[in-house]
Amino acid sequence: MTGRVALAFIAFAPSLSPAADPATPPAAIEQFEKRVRPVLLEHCGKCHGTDPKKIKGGLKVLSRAELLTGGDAGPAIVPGNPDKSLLVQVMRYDGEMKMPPKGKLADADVAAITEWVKAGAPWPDAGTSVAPTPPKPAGPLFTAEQKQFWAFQPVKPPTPPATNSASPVDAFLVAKLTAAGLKMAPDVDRRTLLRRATYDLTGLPPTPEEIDAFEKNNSPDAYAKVVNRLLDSTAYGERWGRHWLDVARYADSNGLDENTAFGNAWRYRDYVIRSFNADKPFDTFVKEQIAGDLLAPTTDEAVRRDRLTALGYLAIGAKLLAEPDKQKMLIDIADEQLDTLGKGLMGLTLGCARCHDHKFDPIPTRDYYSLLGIFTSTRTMQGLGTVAKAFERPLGQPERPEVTAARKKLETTRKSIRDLERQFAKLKPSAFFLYAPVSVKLDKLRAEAEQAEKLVPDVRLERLRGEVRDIETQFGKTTEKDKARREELHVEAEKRRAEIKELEKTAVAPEFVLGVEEGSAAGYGTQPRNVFVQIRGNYVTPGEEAPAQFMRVIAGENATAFVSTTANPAEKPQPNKTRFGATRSASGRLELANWLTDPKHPLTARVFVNRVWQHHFSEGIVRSVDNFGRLGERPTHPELLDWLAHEFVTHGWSVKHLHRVIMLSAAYRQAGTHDAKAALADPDNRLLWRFPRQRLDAEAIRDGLLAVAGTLDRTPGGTLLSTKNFEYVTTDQSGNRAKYDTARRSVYLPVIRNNVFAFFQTFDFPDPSTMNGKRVNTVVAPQALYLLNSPFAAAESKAFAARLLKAVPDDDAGRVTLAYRLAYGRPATTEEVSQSLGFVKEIEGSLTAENDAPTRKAKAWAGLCQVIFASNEFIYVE
Amino acid sequence: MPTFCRTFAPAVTRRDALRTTANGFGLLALGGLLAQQQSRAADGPLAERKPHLKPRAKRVIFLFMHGGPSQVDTFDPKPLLAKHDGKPFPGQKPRVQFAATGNLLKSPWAFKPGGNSGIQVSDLFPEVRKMADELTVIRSVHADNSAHGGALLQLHTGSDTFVRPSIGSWATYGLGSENENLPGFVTVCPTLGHGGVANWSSAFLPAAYQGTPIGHSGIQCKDAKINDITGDMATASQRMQLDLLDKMNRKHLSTSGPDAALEGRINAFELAFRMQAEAPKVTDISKESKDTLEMYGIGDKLPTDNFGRQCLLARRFAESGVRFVQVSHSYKWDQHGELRKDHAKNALEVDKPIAGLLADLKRRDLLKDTLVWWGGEFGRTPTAQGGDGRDHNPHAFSMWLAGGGVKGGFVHGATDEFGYYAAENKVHMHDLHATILALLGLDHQKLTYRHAGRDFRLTDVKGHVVEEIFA
Repeated sequence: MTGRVALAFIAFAPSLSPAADPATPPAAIEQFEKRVRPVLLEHCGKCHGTDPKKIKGGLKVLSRAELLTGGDAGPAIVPGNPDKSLLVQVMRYDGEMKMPPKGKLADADVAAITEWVKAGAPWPDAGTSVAPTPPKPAGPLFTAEQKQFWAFQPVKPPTPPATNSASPVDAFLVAKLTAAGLKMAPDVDRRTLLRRATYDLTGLPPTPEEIDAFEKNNSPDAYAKVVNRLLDSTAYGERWGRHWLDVARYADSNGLDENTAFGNAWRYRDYVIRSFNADKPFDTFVKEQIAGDLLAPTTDEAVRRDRLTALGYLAIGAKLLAEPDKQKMLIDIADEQLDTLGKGLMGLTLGCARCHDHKFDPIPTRDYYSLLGIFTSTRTMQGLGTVAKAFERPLGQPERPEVTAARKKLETTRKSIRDLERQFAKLKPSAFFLYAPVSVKLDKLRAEAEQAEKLVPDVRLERLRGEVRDIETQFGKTTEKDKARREELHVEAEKRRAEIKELEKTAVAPEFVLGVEEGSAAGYGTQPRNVFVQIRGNYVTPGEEAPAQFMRVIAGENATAFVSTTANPAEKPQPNKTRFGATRSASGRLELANWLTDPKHPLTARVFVNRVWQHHFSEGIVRSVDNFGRLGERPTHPELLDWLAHEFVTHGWSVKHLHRVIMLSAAYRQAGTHDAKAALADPDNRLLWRFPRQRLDAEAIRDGLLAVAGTLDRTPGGTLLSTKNFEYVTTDQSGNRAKYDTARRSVYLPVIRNNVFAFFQTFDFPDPSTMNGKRVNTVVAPQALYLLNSPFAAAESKAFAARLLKAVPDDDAGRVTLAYRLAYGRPATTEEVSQSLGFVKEIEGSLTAENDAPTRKAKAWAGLCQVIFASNEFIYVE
Repeated sequence: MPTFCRTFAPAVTRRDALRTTANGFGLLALGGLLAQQQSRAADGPLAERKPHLKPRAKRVIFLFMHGGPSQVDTFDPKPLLAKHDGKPFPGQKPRVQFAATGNLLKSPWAFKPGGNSGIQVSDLFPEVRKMADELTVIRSVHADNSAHGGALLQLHTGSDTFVRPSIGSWATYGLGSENENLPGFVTVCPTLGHGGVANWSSAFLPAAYQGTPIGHSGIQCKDAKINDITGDMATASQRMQLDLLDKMNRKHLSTSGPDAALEGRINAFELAFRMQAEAPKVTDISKESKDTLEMYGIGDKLPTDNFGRQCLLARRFAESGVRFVQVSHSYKWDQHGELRKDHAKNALEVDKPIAGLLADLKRRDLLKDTLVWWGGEFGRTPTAQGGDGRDHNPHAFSMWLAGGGVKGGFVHGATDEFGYYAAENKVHMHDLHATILALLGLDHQKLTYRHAGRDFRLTDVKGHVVEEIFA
């Protein structure tokens, strides 16, 4: 979308040129009609005037006035001055913008145009079109319709309609169903409800024990207790944290052009899981991710670490790390952040306003650049040089000053040693007299380095470990007969091992998190300042300066600046350079975070509440969860959405409270029963006349499989990425080096952009390069192939069979029943038992090549288990 | 049964059906339970669709030369370059360069005319030169990004900034596939670097249009296969499994009421079963004649063996009805140094297989509706890096098309006298994309997909069809 045509000029202020002299000499007229008008019409007209639907660059060339007004890049001609006239410049084909694009005009044509401009650009019928039209009509910025659009209205807590429903949620839903002559489905049976709630909140199936306990508990609050138990489990954060990670386009590698590892991204992922499990207020969660480093200082170490880790949200975007155009790179990185944040938190496609005013929503380009300035004033990268690396911040407490000093000293001393050694090596034999002094100096430096090294635990540790390895090698090479030498080496090694043990207590490897910091001139020119609008998204065509102002349709057209600015006269427009404006007192990240989490903000709570609703019911109240704009969908139940948003905010932005409110409703507890009449009236189930059947997502399928097979490893947190930080994860010659042959929960598997784990890819894991709040749900043959042929499916089927054979060694029917209880959360019917056993017998009979009976049995049962895993009942939740 | 972004489509449309029950590599045959949907029975995502325009080609084979072959050493002779060898480039170098370069460097290879048309091709491609009368060489291709990653993404998806569907995905989305038991878009030994999967991804288009990789560039073509196309289970046992599965799923369906997704999934297993029988047959070249293998340069230890196998697979996929096949010579053509040695080695590996592919397609009468497309992600500078290398140059490069509706023995466009910039009849990457779609009968302005609030196109808001090259 970014216009990359670079223009080799800057825009000129419109000059009020004189009209063509009415007394244009006939010769000039003839020259114009013969040599100029045909050229303009034939070579320029197609894109610049004759087809009103296809005006490129906003420029029309069919009248003198149009040329004087010009297009996005400014006036096309300066009468009398061909060298300053864009029209002539582009035709000369020596700048970056060349017109016409298909090839240079004949020299004679260029000369004719040049002469004509030089002569004052006489245009015989110019009488009516004298002055350039003003660039933009004055008037209100937004139409009344735009201002009244539902999503920009404040949240008004509506009173639930009067119905028999206990839950306000149901009251809103029932009112609409009744109006449509429909009603909710009856309550679902308890086993199905438990399976539904358990997968929904934890991404795992209920265990047979949990099913039994729930079935036996007849108290009225049994279900509410189950919901609480599930919300309190650590599996909850692993499930719902993952939903947020889709919105945060989480990944462990950069993707895009150079796929290098984000070795520390997992800390952000664990932070997200931790935050959901702790029911961190959502407003705090948002503030930490946008401005964790700028919040009021805290003495709580855990909070301090969380705040820095949260900044990973801004840093983990996919970036072109080898972009040769560094100015474009700066803008692209900020654009990615703004676009992700716009869709993720506000449901607005802000990125659309990069090149032009948003075509559908009231987001002028200027508002986009006002916000973009926040991120061009933020340091996101270590630098922009190829191959660039994302910025990281140390997580630990600052080092003791004497250690830092020693580290520095060590660095400089080592450099001096290297330099001196190099000089020494170059000494000619004739300069023998220098040998001694240089070597004395070297010895002195080496002693100093050793001294300094002892003060820096991690460096010392590294040295000692290396020495131990060397000694061990020598030990290995020493024959057993040479006992004395061996003893000597052993002592040396032990001495070092003791010191290592001692050092390991104090020397912790410094921890880093991906994150951002306030911009600075030293941080590749990110000092806080305004940017100018970039016409057609191109930095070489700056428009007006974008002040530090929030989106005017929400903040008001005269909103005060969110940070103070100081005019910077040093910022002058320069050709081919990004134009920056007034200096800002700060980037504005903190102010942005506060603005977004202001309870009065019309979008933040609505958008998030809607995401939560979507994960429970598979569709949001606004079905286009990432787009609340005009092209998005309208809410099916606007009052319910507002009621939920208000409830959410007034209960301290508690996500777990929101779950309870939703899950305790009758709507959530209803059956998925088909109803022909309702299906005809409301085929999309927008009114929720039944609970929608849902296919498990990629993670839940894999975790469910592991859990049922009994192989799931519930170890939380940490990283499974085998690639070192910033090293390549995939290159041309290698497949993905990440390892997925682990039984850990799916949320802990590395997410490798450009090469997502095959299982995930097959089952609709979203492209982690961009945020995506709503996964697609496809039914494709590769999914079947995966379940039929993959080593994973085979191994887990085998494990499931082994589990069954071990748990129920002597009762074939009982084994089938257990299999059904584990996989489907219900016992098998007699018909299903006999069908399964018939199948097992058939397979066993076909395995004629297998002589060992127990192996035959194991294989046949594994065959059955694979079918259970592949079945619709396993993959879908009612 | 969630669908994303229903905004723009009425409740039941083909597009919805695609999204929710996109039956992978094949058609979705809805059974009796959904009577009202039966009219769409053959309307799966890969069902054949009518093009917008008169199609000149039915399918594409893209021979991708990853790294950036040098135009002035292959298909764009520059006598002045030889004359001014070692002198500074008299024009202005690009504002944004990948790296600094020195003075002009003449081509180490001689150019000679090929075929009756006499198109000038360098000695790097003696075999392709013999096929000159089949080619439309476009010497004025240009693009925007001078780094590999960005350039690959733009070449494959039109955008070097955002994640967008690949051209193969667009073509398959527009036309469907001619064979329901195979993927519509196949990429043989693609690179995992420089965009990796993003270069054959369907991005926001339904997953059915995703390219199906056969191996990757790090392994030999003879070891490459489709993931999970076969497993450990014996076919007979697997048939028993599928029969049981079908019974269980149908029982489940009968108790749950009509559901297109559940039924689509039942069919997906049957389709998978057919696919795993069919796909390995296509990739098995053991029954090809000795003469054919020779044409492609396939043979133990021959330098042409690996790429020859890729080209032969491309023909076999094309023949079987796959819409878009890409083969990659990756990532070889990036000669910042050792141009003489390595460009010669690279060309040797591909020249004979490419000529063999063209000849083979022709003798099978497939060339008339198969568009063969050759080229890299950018060209190289006429100026030198070191004494024997060239830098990346997106401002001018040569690509050629053959077969499916293009003129034979034709040269379109020209670069400046040194070959640094495209100068005459310039063809931007967007224009080339628009042209390829047009050859397939697709109007690039009409081939749109609504996503995240707007209609997306392969060519974004650009693109101009180069009709001059149409036969």
